[in-house]
Amino acid sequence: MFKCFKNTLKREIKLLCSRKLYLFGMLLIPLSVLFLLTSLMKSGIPQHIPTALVDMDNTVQTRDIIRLLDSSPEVDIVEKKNSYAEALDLMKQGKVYGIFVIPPSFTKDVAAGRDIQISYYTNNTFYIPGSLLFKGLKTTAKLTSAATVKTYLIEVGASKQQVQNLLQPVNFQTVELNNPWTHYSVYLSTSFVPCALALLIFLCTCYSICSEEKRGTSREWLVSSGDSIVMALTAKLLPQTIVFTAVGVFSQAYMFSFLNYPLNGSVFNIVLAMILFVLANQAMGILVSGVIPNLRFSLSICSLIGMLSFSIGAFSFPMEYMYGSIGIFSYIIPSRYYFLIYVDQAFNGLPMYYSRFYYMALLVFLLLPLFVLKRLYKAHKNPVYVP
Amino acid sequence: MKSFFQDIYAVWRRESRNVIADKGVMIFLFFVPLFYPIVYALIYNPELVRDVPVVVVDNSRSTKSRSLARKIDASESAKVVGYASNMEEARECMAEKESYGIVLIESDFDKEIGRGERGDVTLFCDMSLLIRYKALLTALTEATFDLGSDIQVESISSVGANGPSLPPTIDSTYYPLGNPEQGFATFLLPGILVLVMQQTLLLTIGMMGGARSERRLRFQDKERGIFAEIFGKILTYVFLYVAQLVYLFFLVPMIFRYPQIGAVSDIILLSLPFALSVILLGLTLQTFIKERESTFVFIVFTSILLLFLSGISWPLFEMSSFYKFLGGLFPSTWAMQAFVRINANAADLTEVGFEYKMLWLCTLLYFATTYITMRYRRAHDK
Repeated sequence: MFKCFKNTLKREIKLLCSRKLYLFGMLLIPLSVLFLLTSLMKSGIPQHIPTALVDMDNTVQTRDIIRLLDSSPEVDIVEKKNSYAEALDLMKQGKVYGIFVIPPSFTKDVAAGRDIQISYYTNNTFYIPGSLLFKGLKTTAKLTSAATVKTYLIEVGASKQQVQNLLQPVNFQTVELNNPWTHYSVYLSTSFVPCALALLIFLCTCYSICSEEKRGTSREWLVSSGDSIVMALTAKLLPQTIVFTAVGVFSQAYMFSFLNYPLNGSVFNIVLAMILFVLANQAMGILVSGVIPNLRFSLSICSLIGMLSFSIGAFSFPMEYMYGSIGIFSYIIPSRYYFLIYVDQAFNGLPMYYSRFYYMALLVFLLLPLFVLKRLYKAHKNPVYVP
Repeated sequence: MKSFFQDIYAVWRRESRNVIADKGVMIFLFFVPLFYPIVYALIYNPELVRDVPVVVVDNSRSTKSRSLARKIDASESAKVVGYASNMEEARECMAEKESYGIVLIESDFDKEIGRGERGDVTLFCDMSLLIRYKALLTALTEATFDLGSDIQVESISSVGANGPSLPPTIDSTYYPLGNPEQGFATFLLPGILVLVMQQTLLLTIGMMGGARSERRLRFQDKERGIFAEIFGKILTYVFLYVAQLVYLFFLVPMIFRYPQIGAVSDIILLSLPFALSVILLGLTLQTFIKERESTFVFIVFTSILLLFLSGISWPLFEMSSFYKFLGGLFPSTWAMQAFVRINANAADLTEVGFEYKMLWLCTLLYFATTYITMRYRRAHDK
């Protein structure tokens, strides 16, 4: 039995080394996704967002506002225009993401005690810069407003301390648990990188099983493993398990250790999750290649599931708000469970108890191949390749 | 000249037949463009998250603190699911995913405000999904501001200003442009539709390339001129993709109410260089694809990277020039920027002129690479 295992393993390693596809699919592509996403978002949060200013008053007071505006970390005034229309053109050209408008006769109206409207606009088609810039512009608008009220209150006889408190009777603070910087790469790369890995595990698993059939080497594969499909699959996929786990754990080490993304739980728990995650994806791959023992169609299915996982996995838009019952599909992909474990174990550092079901779910995936063992055996014993 | 057009026609006819006869290819040519937008709509069209569960730790137990909790509960984006007696209990609630935030109201909240000082409220927020954080932040900001205004009205009169008339204020009005609801689908989907078009076309053409080298279809075009082969193939894919293009760029935005305020003519004019450059990029890649199935491994994953490189999710001004260049090599990057600004910001073709020119540049570039690789392939096919 051990000899059969050795034979198949040897044969498989030869196959893996002989095709560039495996080098790309198992190593180069997952690693390039890791490096690209993390380095693309290495600043964590976009700052100095290009903004257009329309100052229709142009006095000492409005220049104070502009200084205040420019001092907020989100805002970078790149253009000054005389009308809103001109500024809007800049936005349509993609040169600015927001517009801040100070109305004409601003200073005069303040002095006369008339109500004034400042307006600000952000381009929310670009979600991230749009919402960040909103924060910056809003703060400036609020501070400007507060300054006028303050002047007024002091005039009517309130002390400075009183004024401060009157302006903000409720002091609201936020504690962003474990990601106080709202670092976008911490938020996105930690789920997108494993999900990309899952896609490639699906594809490589299916490819290596179904291409036996396509190339007419199915029988040879079964013979080398002593006519046992279990042995054949184990020996075939073991080298891939090792490589993918290594790549997965490396990506964890790179993010949590080298880039210092939050890891508040035990290293063991998250590495265990990665090992189970790799196995669960391989099991899904076996299932697909067993149900559809045709290289082309099984790879098509894997691509479709793999790509939809990025959305259905609910890494950015929560599952419970999705329409219809589409959210239930997130339960059938391993990436979802890895994400939930990551959030609990690494990000929020909870005891393993709270993630027990997610670990169990990953284990359940490992049972999937049992349903197709017979089918796979038949398909490879008497291969019929449909081109 | 006559034979040139005959050659184009012959290539077009033969290539179209090959594509239509191939079931695997048809999945990506018709099924994916048809159903992906629907699935994405089901996932993202709720746009916003509402009633995000939050627990309140009310150490003040006063009228003001209860009023604050009520205001939070009444807001559109948050929902108070319970009160916890202390932070321990509240954290337990979060660990069980019963809530995604804790609102802590300090015990001296009421007293501080009564004394004319500031009462403290703190939101402890789960950051695993930023959209939930954003919802809770909005709800809490509004609720505290609301309570603040109530208190202000009370106390300003006590300071000595005559009556509850508030001082002259500088009001500010916020206008969100392009995506007024600030929803998720409106932001993500218009760009995704462009990406779906590019990726399905590339997969289709890539698979045909693999099939060509596997099934020895390679001799078929040898007797035709190289330009006839290129134009014939362009025609094939343009014709096969017209329906999907209309569906993706006009019907889907209409059905699912994505912003569509640009001129139809601009979108058609933009689609032309986009489709051409994608097809030519695909024809170039064909040379490198020896086996049709490898197309999946090499092309599918790029979708996710191209989404990030397009500047739709991560802004362009935060990208290094290397990544801008890398993204710029793909037609989708320019097309996504242009389509989104036309559709959501009502830009016209001159305002996306740069992107438009870059698409034509891509077309020229990939025409050249297609010519070179095809010549190379013809010389080396045996």
